[in-house]
Amino acid sequence: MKRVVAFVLMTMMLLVFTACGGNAPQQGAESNQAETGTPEKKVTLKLWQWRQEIVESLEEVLNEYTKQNPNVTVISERPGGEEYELTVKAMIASGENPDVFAVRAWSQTKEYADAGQVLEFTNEPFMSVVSDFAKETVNIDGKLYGLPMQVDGGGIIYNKKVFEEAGITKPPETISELEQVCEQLKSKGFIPFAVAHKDWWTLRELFSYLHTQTTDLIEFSKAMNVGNESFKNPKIDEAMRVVDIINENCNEKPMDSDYNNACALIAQGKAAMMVQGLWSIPVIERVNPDFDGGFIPVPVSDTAGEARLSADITVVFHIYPESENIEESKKLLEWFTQKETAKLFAEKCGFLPPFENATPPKGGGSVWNDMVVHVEKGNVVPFGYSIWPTGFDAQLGQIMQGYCTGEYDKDQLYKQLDDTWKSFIK
Amino acid sequence: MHINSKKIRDTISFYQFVLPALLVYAMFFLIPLAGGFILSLTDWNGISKELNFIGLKNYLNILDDTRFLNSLKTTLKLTVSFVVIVNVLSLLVAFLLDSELIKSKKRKHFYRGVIFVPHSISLIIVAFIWQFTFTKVYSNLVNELGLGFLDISWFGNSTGAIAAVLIAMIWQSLGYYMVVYVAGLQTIDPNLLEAAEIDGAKGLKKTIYITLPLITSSIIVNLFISIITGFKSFDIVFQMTSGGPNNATNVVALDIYQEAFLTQRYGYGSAKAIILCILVIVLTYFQLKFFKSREVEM
Amino acid sequence: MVKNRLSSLLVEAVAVLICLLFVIPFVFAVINSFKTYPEMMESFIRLPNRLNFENYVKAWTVMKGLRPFINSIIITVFSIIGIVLFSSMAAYKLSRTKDRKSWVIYLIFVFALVVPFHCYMIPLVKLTASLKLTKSYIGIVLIYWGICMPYAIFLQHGFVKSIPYDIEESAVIDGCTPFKTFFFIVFPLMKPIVSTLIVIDVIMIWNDFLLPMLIIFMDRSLRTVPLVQYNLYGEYNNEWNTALAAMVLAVVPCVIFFIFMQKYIVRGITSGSVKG
Repeated sequence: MKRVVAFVLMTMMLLVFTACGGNAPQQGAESNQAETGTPEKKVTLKLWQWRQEIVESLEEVLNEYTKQNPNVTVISERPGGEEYELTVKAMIASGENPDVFAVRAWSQTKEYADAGQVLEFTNEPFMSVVSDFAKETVNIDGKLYGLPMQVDGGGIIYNKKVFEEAGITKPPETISELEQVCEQLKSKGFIPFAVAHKDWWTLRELFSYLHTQTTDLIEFSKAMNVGNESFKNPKIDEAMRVVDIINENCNEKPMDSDYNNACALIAQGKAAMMVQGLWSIPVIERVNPDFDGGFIPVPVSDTAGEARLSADITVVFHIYPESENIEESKKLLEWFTQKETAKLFAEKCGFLPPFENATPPKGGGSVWNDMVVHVEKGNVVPFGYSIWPTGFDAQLGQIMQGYCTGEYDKDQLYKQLDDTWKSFIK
Repeated sequence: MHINSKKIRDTISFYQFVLPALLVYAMFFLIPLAGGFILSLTDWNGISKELNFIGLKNYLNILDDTRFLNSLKTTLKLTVSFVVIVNVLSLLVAFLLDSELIKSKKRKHFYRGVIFVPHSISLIIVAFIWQFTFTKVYSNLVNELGLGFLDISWFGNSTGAIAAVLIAMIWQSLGYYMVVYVAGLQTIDPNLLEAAEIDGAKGLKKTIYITLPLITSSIIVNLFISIITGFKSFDIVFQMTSGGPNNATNVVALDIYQEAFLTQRYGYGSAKAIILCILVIVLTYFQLKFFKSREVEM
Repeated sequence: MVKNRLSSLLVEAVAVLICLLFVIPFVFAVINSFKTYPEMMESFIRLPNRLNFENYVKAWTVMKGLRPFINSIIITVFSIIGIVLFSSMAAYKLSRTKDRKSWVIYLIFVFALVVPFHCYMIPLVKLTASLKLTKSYIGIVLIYWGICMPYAIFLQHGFVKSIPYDIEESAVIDGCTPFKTFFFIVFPLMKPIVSTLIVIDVIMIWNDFLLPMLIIFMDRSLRTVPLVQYNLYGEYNNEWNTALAAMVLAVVPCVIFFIFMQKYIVRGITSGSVKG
């Protein structure tokens, strides 16, 4: 018995010692540099975001900040990886405070704002460079919460080289033109559309880009919430022709193909078009650094010039109200809004911040400039899932999969969507 | 007097042995679980600072939740297939690899080792490897072998998707169940088997009427664990199919996860989780009772 | 005689075939981990032109040295010590004591097996944080002690029944205290099941992602192997060759450990202790 007690005690002691060792703060390579006249307090800021593609490039950008402000180290993390939202919620629930963290705009920001978990920015000076359309996405009952950081666009990304080789001189503007372009591509041995039906969220994108062009999203949502609307209407019926065209003109085994595969196909020049957001450009470029792409809206009718690009704020940086470094965090966000920093974000992370002085990233050919043209004309629509009830989009993706495998026809699709919407607002 | 003090000593000894385990367990499992149960009585959304008690409303809502009920059906389908296939296969493999027909003990251990190795891989990696295999390697392979007609779409329909998930799950865990069966087979007194053979029981008869009953405890353990594993399965489905296509592989654990963390209805998700636990408890209670009565004690 | 020989060969052939089937996905994963990206996109099943180690180098650099391995080892080892110690004691006593309270306590332990982690995850993290045990080895080790206890007890409870009681009886008559009896007589006989338990739990703890993510992630110096690697694989990453290399690295320690432990696991109860 004594032996056992001794053994257990020893184990506990060992644990305590190693735990103490483990808790020693990690000394970063930065922030121990030149001795300046006034010794400033060393600050470490914790920044959380979910995008896998920018994990390394974001670190580079933040190192720049430390170079300019040697007493501040910003550590960026991607907690939970695929399970980012779960992890953030669990960490906050357990009292783990980030300083700056990213969530989506619209309903996600609202969720956190209602719970008092993010700081209000209405009167912050750095918000003045944010474009009005971006401000709308973080406007909760007249107050602004969070710094919108990224404008993403959704539409058809096309490989210019493939179009050239197939003899296509003008990107399609109507559904009929789209059909013709597909025929031409097929005859030259190209896959017209690279699809990724295995990943439900790509179908959410597709449906969203069509849906928000055919209805006023906010009015639609309000009406759906009181049961006065339905997904079924003649405009979306027309627009769904595009989905059929895509399904008839895509790579083989669409249901087995995932996002990575689709990006690879268009990058390699095997496929000509992909319905996707511009966040996919870094992924495409990893396969083909010289990718030359163009960006056009998804047509929803046979009238030229009617199609509108989807563009929305996808990343918003918030400050956690109980962070110990609110002033420093605000300084960091202020630095984000500076012209040089916006350039840095564009260069390294492929970001297009919604600031007046921002320059679009250069990657992927002319895709970003194509998008900016539409945004400046005001010719854009938001992403559906910004306003749809939370969680609805996941089910929509599943239902669309059912449509693509032929399990549902159009009317059943609409009914499924209507019923699902109802179940989310209960 | 003498007997009384023995009883007291025995009780003290009992708690000396059991209490450490019980304390850690209570602290880091029972208490959080109670917390989870309390949360299921609220409409907490995961991040708000206040708790709003709504009693059993969440549980009543479950009855109308078609997605949840469907996910129960899917989980049942998956679990039954999994339990049957994995136990039959692992039993067969256990017999095979315990057979006297393989002379070298070293080789026996080697084969068992190879089959067990997948179990040392984390489920996320297993899902990734199999997804890679089903969507890329399989296609290349059958085409190069000239078996183009076998080039099916695994994730294009519900059967294929469920089969894919099952294959990954079975590959990962077969070795484990096999090990339990082998251990059971090795505890059988060879004299008993000899005696049975002398009495005329040979081959298949011997296996069914003598060997199987003698390893009932192994069967009980494996059935118990495989049923629980089947019902709780999450990681492989999450990684491989996200519940698709069109909710064909939307298992209960996935539905709970989406409800609790993606739909801002953590309280409701907790309630569903509690219901899942109750269902599995009931199921395994009957399973254990059924097989306990057939157990042969040494 | 010949028939026996033939059967032997047949049986072994089947065994080898099954093993090959089992190894195939792994083989392809390893093959592709040695390819460059263009090579891999060309064909997923052909052998690489040469053994390209750059993916492994990249995977290794991401881990920033041996620290994650050390962390994983420390956490795993201390967790196992506590789990084995407390669970074997408890399982033994619960199995030997055949009264009501023993059965009830056993059920209380075993019922945990059906509970999915998400059920109690957030309250657990909250509790650990309020005890100031997050971001420390102690915290996560204690949690593993708590949540791995049910399975460990379940596994050993049945096994203890198969150890004949007469040896203990004689020890008690000889004047051994209950603890002495357990640790010097019974525990050594539990080697097969304890070895099995150790392998299962080592694998589980080594590969665990979510719990360490919630408890120790925020302290970079404490991160375990899964926590430093997860950025390499995921839905949005198409560099499978790098991801596969990272996976091979992650898997190798467990596999080696298992191979090493193999000989302890399925040794049935050998002679000496069974017949009195």
